[in-house]
Amino acid sequence: MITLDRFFTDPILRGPTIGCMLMGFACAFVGVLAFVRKRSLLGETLSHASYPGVIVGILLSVFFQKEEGLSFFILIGGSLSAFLGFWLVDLLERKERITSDGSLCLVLVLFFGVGVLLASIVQSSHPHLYRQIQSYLYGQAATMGDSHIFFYAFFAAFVSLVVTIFYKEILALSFNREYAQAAGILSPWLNFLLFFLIVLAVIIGIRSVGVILMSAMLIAPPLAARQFTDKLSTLFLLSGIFGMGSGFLGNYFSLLFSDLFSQTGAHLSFPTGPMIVVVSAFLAALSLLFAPKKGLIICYCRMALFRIITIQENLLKTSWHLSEKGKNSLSLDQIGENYAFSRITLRVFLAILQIKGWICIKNKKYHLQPLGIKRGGRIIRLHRLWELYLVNSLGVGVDCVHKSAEEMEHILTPELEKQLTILLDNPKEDPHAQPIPDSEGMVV
Amino acid sequence: MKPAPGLKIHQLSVNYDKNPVLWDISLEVPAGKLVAIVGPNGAGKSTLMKSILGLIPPLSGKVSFSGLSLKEIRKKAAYIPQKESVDWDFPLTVFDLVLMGRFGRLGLFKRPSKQDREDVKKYLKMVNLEGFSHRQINQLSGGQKQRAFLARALIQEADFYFMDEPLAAIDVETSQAIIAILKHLRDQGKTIFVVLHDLEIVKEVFDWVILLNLRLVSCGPVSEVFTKEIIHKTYGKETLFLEEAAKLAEEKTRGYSLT
Amino acid sequence: MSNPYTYQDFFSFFPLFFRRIFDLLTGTLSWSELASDEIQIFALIGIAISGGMVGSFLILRRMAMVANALSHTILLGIVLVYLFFKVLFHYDDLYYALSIPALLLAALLAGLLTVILTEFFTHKLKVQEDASVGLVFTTLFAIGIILVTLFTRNIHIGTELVMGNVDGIKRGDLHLVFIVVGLNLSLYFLFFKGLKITTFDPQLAKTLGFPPPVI
Repeated sequence: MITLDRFFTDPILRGPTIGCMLMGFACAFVGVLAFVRKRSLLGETLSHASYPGVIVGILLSVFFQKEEGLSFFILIGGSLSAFLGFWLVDLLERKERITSDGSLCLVLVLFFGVGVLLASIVQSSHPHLYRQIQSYLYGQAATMGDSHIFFYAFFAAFVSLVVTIFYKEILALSFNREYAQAAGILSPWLNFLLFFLIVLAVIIGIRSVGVILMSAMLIAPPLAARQFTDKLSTLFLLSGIFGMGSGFLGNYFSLLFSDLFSQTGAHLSFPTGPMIVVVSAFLAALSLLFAPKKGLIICYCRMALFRIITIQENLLKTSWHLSEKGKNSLSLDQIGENYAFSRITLRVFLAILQIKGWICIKNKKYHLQPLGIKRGGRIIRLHRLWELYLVNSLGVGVDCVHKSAEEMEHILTPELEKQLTILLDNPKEDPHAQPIPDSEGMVV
Repeated sequence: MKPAPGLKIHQLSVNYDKNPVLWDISLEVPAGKLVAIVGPNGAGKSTLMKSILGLIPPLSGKVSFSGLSLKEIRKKAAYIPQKESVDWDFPLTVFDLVLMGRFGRLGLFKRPSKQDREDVKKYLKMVNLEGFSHRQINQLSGGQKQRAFLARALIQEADFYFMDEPLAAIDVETSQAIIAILKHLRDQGKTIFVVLHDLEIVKEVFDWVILLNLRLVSCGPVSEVFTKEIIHKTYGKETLFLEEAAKLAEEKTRGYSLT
Repeated sequence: MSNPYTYQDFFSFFPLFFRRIFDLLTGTLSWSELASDEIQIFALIGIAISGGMVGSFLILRRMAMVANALSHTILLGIVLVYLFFKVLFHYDDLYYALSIPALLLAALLAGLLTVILTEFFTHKLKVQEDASVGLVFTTLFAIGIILVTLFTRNIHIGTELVMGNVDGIKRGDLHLVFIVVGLNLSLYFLFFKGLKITTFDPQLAKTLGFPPPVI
């Protein structure tokens, strides 16, 4: 078993680990820029568009007999190719009537097709180069070295610096470009700088996760982070952290699973790039489901909780009505008469009511407590106030207001209740000529 | 005694990308007026506003503000784009949206100061959005969004205000509140340009009106120029011919048809 | 069977090709004598026809990237189909996994998975559409690659899928290609009204009785 610190110290492991963490951070940071403008698929198009340029770069680097790795030519080639692709996308959208998804797709397919063509030519003429080209398709994080760490660190620092210094301008530009232009906030070169950052992030990223998977690193971390914040500054930070975490965990799990599955005999190496992507997608999914404010599961839980409270209050109301008619000692059947619950369910709910102090149970009979009377009265008050509001202020028919009031009585807050009281001039009777309990829940 | 001209446009023509064509617009509007810009759909009202502000490059023509060019006056001109042109899902609170109005003044490297933040609160109060400071902008109603936009423009403390359809898709109360603020600004000597569709409001509230339909139909005080004949000229059937001619001109000059 | 095109250059290909097509139609040439190049051309034409028809609607619905997405997720589909054959029938040979019927099944699977997941993300989880599509297909592709490495140790499946291998198309495959084209065409004509109306105005379509999600 490999201990955690080995990931950062071992010369073979630390390149991929730290390199991917930095790559994850930088790409996530940069990905926010595209994400907030709803142009997330730009990363996909750029990475595919860079493919032909990368191939040309590899060929050139071999021609000039440079070492492989993050060679200068690959960087330049890929970037130029990506820039060309983006220029074409922009042109198509502005001048022609092609919508953004169509132009992105067109350029993507066009450039990637050219790339594939080039690759197949290389495959027959220089087979060993072909393997190198393939490594950029799927990424080869495992062979990253210390030089990569320095380069990525520099890039990550550069990106953070740019975003911090120009935060105001980036905010205005991304949110409302026209306004930024009119107010003189926008500098013509800022947009270009931002775009340059995105391209650079993509090119650098394809070394570790590959052309095809690159765009996930620009999408998943911002998506995850967005579930936790409504401020752009926090979004950048959280996104970077998620990206960094994905980079690390991707490496960690790929090594872990490689070890695990290798125990059955043959040595297996889990590909790092896809693992990073899967981890980041998983983080995004978790965030979407469980984020405190908006998470889907959390919302369902809140809904369920509200339902339970509603049922409790309804049971209380029933008891209140029955006691209003003079019955003080209630049986299970009396309370549960109009409900579709089983006896056991009823018992459980009524036990909860007892815990809350609204009722007490004596000799299998249920008695309303003062607290319960007060609380029940308040609910009735809200119910009848609402009915009165609908009839008097909105002109709804007297026979149609009950259902709505049945819902609203559980929803109205004390502030809204106060407003209603003032609006309706502290009324004493509801549209059905029934008395409205006062704010303490007592019937006068 | 005529005050110095607020806005002067000389032979402005615009034909850019997918925007409607504007032909040879020349007009003069004195400072300190509430100016309405009206015309049928596709008349180029937004295009006019955007080209005045330098957002769309003109084919020809010149625009000057109190004798100064746009570059010199940038910090003194506030723009409120149409609500629909913005993505309201953007991670932004109401407070930060209004604070954006100060970014122009701050320039590239300065951070917003305490005074700036106090001013945000002040202007939020003015548009009656006090309690909404920390709300995410997509939780606002149409009227609230418009008021937030207005606050962002107000905090710029500009001399010229340009508003693109601020009274569209909002509730009556917000509409009246906005009109009250506009009048207040005018009384302080600011020049305000508003694109709108409701001709009744033009008659009731505005001092000056620009009637536009790809070309200038008329520009002058509401009392003089907002007559039945001129309104008919702007919206009437005779102008349809102009649209056809404009399309044809575009086809020929660009080599292809836009429709 | 020798290939009549072997020694032809680019320009003399065309006259020969059209001559042979003519012979085919008039009965002089039999179907079994079709050269592999011609088979490939027919297959590609069929694919292009299908693609063009479906693609028109995708473009109109601003869903062009979905097509791109599908071409990625199909890797996962194929891996799953391969596993299916391996586990159920112990067919370890790639021959079965890469045959056209299996590919069709894989494509169906992948298509369904992609669309269902994307819809879930966009509508249930309220994620913006561009992010949904981008995330879903890259993740499914990543899972596909992981599974490929795990079970087959053969990255070539991935490569061949990404690049395609036209030379692998046999005469028997043509039947299936044109069956699919025919199916596409008939569905297209049957549902054209529904497709048109749900593409242009989904709300109106709903009120008139064409359910947009189904279409």
